[in-house]
Order: sequence, then structure tokens, then C-alpha cells
Amino acid sequence: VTATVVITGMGVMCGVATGVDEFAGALRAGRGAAGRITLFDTTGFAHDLACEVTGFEPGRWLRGTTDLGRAAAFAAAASRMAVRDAGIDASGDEGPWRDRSGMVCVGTTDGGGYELDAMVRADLDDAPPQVRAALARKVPATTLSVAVARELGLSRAEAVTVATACAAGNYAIGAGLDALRSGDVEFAVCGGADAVSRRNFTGFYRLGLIAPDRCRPFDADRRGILTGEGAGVLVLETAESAARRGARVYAEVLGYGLACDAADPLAPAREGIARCMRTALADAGVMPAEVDYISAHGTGTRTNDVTESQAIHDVFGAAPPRTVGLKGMLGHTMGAATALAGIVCALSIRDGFIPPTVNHERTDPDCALDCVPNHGVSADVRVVQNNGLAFGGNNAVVVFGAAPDRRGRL
Amino acid sequence: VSMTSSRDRIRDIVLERTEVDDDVLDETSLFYEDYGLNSIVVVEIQAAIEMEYEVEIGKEQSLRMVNLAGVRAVFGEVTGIAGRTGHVNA
Repeated sequence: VTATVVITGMGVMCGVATGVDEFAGALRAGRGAAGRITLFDTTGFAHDLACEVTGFEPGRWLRGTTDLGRAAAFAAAASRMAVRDAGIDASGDEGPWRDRSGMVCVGTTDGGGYELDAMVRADLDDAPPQVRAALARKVPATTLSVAVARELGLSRAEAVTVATACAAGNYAIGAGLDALRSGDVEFAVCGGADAVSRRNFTGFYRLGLIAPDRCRPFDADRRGILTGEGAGVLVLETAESAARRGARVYAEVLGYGLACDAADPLAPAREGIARCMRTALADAGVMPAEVDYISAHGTGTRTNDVTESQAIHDVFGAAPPRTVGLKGMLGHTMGAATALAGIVCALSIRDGFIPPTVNHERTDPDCALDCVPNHGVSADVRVVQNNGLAFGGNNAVVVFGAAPDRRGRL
Repeated sequence: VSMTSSRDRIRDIVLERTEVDDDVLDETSLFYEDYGLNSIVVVEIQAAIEMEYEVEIGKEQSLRMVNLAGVRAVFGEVTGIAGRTGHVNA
């Protein structure tokens, strides 16, 4: 019998909120994080908006070192929030999971990309070698999961960073689910993190994918993404473990699916996306008709939104469930995107609320979805599908459900 | 000494970025369907033209760069240099 895996803690660091409660409020309000870029010089770019985390003070959240890269600090801060939220370190000591076997898995697109920018700057400025060396240590993507394990004092956790770009957060949740199902670990701290950087912005700008004003998923006049940053972290454990320690359960992780199309570096493949969704639903033991809503990848680019919509119609038929594009509010937080969206899914299940697709004027007829435009709706949410679609066809879809005692069966 | 026209330079850029053989690249065969290229190549062609000629190619224009003729047409639009008829093979 495969173990039932549940979410018992969540940590959020992003442009619209810090922490789960603030995040839930921001989602209800349909708050957006877009603003002028402050983290690097945007001279020469025709537009300069992103969804930055402003006023981030690592020392407010971290007990251990704050000498971390920006993305690693986001990951560690959100992880500290998540274990606190799970009631693991309420006593203030290093926590009862310190000597248990666990997994830390963080998804990312750029790892220490922000520090890589700084290294280039240091090189141009002819900075002393020790300055460059200090930055170089913060660049590898592995620093993200290691920073989390160190901050939480998890000496027996396997620390893994998954660099599968914009779907990486879902990969991380899936890895944690597998590790718990197989009985390899007793807990998993999973999520994703990234920082806004000039390098990343320039890449998307070069591809013509940066929106000049707002990110408008599924809108007929959508013009692209706004890059964003932050971290989302979920604490996973078995339902049995949660019950034993009397932990609050947000939701169950029902299953996930992965697909690597490798068809084209940039263009998404409709069949590959559909295959990935079907794989996830099958793993979750859920019929398409049971899905109450979909958190879309919904980047707000012309290609993604049409291709994703077509694939959703392929899987769900003529009347697919409501499909929300969260990136209008949060921006595209890269490796953090699906982790933050996963937290949204869990909050939807807890609160009976589907957040809106903001900045919406007219739905693209080629998308033909109910994207819950501009105003969230109350609904009995029991099963949510979370899409993550990355370049290269590196797709990952996770399905969440209400806690087993509440979900029932259709 | 030969004077290379912009028309030849566009062909050179496409040859360099696509790595398609000179005797295989024609005006109308499609980058994706006929040569099996991927979308990054078009981005590279766009970037090379933008940097060399100090012009900007819009997203909608780049979507029309599906073959050499398409690249020439967009090049003509952004530079005002005729793509088809300005051919000088000196």
C-alpha cells in the first residue's frame, strides 16, 4: 500500500506576500507585484518591469548564516517559515526532525544567477580575487538546497537541487512525494526558488517574451511575461506521521507526472503537455471530471497560453474546469513558480476559494477557458491540478486533493 | 576585391547560424519543416541582424522569419534596404 502524503506546512516569499496568511490575503485581493526593476540597471531596455521581492531582510527569518546568495536566502527563509508553520520547530530548538532521514528538494531555473551578474560586474570593475571568489561560491544551484538543510539543521537529509527551469518546483514536490511513498524518508521539505537577475531578464527580453506593461494570461492582447522572484516551500509527510503528531493538514499530494519532450528548445508541444497531464491524473487516481480547477502554467505569452489551452481541451474535453493564470499577480518566478502555485492550490482547498486571473480584459477565443477573470470565486475545491511547463518540454504536473477524510469519491 | 552586398550578408548570417550547407540553403525552404532547425536558431539570426545593423526586429516580425526569403523581407522592413531586388553579386 502506497503511503498517503500530505502538506503540513508552507512558506512563502514573493513579491505580493511574505508568509502563508499574507499570501492568502493577497490572492483574495488579486494583488499584483509588478514594479520598476531596482535590482539591476535597465538602461537600453525598452521596458523594465518585474515582480521583485522588496525589503527582504534574511536576518528576520534565518537563524543560521545570512551569507547566502539571493535565491538561496529566499529558499532558506521560506523553508524556515514552512517548518514553523508545520509546528516542527515551535519550541525554538533545532527541531525533532534533525536526526531523521528526510529530503530537501529545491527547484530552480537560475540557481545563483543573481550572483553571476555580480561576478560579471566584479570582473568588469577589476575587483580583487577574494571578492570574485566569495561570489563564485554562491553561484552553483546546489547551494539552494544545501542552504535549506543547513538552516534547518537537517544533518540526515538528502539535499537535492533540481534545475528543470520553469517546472522545477513541481519536480521538487514530485521528488518529495516519491521519497515519502517509497518509505525512504520521514519528511520532505520541497519547493522552488529564484532571484530576478539581469541575465535572466535579458534572455527573455531577447526572445521577445517580456511584456511591456502587464502580464495578462489568456487575454487576447497578452504580450508576454514579467519576470519575478521568491520562494515557495512545502513540508510533506505521510498522513500517518501527521496524525501521530497532531499536525494540521492543508491538503494531500495525490500524484504527479513528468514529461521530457525534448522536441524544441523553446516551443511547447501540445501532445507532450497533454501526455504529462494524463500521467499526473493517472498517478493521482483522479478522473479529469474530478478536477475542480487548474492552476495553469499560463505565462501570458502567445504561444504558451494557446498551446496549453489546446492540451487542456484534449484532456478535459469541450468543457474543461476553470483554469487560472497566477502569473498576472506573481510574475513568472521561474523555479519558484510551480511551488508558489502549489501553495495556492493547497490554500484553495483549505479556504474554498479560487483566485483570479488578473489584468484580464478579453479572453483569447483560441484559449476558450474560464480563467476566473479579475475576481476570485468561492467554490468547494477538492481536487486541483497544478501545471508546470518548461523550455525543452520539461513538463511537470502535480495534483492536490482535500485531506482524505474530506475528499470522498465521485 | 569584391564588394559584398547586404543581400549576401543576410545569406551568410543564415548560413552561419543554421549550419545548413551552402548548396542546400535556398530561398523558400522552411527552417523548421525542411531543415529540421529549432526556434533558437531564429532567435540567433534575429540577434545577429540586430547587432550588426543596429536595428530592432519585433516579435511579430520574427515570427515571419520562417525561411531565407522571410528573413530578407523582415530585414528590408527594418533597414529600408531592399531584400529581393537589391541583389549585387560583385
